[in-house]
Amino acid sequence: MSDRIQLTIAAGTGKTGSPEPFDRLVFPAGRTVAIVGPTGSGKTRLLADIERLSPGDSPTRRQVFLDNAPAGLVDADRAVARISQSMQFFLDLTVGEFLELHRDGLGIPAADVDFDNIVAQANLLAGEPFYADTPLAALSGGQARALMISDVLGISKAPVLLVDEIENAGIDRHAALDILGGKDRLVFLATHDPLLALRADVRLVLGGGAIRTVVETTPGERKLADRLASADRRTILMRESLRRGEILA
Amino acid sequence: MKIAFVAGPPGCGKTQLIVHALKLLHAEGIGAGVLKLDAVASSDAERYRLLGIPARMQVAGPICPDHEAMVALGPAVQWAKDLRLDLLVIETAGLCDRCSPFLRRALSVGVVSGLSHLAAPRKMRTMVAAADILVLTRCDIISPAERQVFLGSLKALNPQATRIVANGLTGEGTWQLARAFRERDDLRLMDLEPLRSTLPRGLCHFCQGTESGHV
Repeated sequence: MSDRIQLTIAAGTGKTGSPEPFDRLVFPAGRTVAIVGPTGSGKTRLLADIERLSPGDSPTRRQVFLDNAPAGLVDADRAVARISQSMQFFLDLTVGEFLELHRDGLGIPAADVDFDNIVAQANLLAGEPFYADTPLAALSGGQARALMISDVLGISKAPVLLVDEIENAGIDRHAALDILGGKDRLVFLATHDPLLALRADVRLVLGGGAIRTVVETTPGERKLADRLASADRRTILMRESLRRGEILA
Repeated sequence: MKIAFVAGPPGCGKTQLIVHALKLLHAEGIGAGVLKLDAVASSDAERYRLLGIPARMQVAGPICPDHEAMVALGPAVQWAKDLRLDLLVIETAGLCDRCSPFLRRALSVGVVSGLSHLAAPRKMRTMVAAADILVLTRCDIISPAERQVFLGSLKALNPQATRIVANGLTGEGTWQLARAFRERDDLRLMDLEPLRSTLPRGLCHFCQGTESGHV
């Protein structure tokens, strides 16, 4: 999986059937790609198309290729991992049982997975700690999302990572993005958060179900992102103070 | 003619999957019809016909649905031949999960909902273990990690089967099912065709059609 990968999106259509204004878009490993657009504009649908390396049978008719990887969810599962908007587990398992079954289901050797580290990593992102023997059903939305993130990093280790609206989870999104990125990984990030969008190398602007434009983040925007990040850190400190019961002003 | 069985518990999405797959085949000029078997009642045959897919309905009533499928198969094959169909799909919701309706040489597809309990495939082992293709549905509701756990549980029960994730609402993934239908060899039902799994030695109150279960 350390080989440099390259993902290609061949144009499909928007909700009205009009074609997307490009032939194909190519994304190499090491990039972070933001997906922006109002709710209902097709962000999650685009992630779903990428997740299954769609052969063109989804409502958008987009085709997605990853080198020579085969299409279809089962076959693409080792190459593409997705952290969905889901904030709840349905499985009747403990955290530890879930991680073990996930490893086994993906056919990854037990020696390649550090379960304690996955739980510890999740606890760094979320609020109150949980443990290997905590039932999945007892996790809060933020804890569940944090576990889904550290699970992807610790178990599937797929070279393409899809992240859907990480800002909604009540977790530390800066820390999450820091650990999700990487020079060998290609990250797609659907977001409503300007700070997260500006942290990406490039952004896809969606509307009416279609990719409308592709914008490279400018040097000025990168500086703006730094300023936004320091303001955001102040907000986070205030949140921590409020959580401790302090009075702010 | 090609013959395929699609089995799975009620409400797991069999009809929607078949509709999508047959539409894809119809666009290629492959004519397909459906024999729908249900234990009690169903309006699915009408749903198929409204979409232009020839369909026959068979309600098992007091008879075990898997027994009923075998009884209904001969007339249904003749019906499909008369219509000059290339493919007959037998859609059946098992009742007691003790049996599976799969014939030795017919394509056998088992459908499981990703929203069911992780232990559910094990309880439907006869169907899951005997299938050529296992389709997991309803995965748009669960997280990707849970989908992969579920797929792992299917693989543990039947490592040989081709596993497909499909969405009955949008039709995503059903191209893989359509491809399996298309690539299946024609089958001549000249003699009695053996079942893939053994039938029970005794009959339960469902199969006997009595009310004893309610006492």
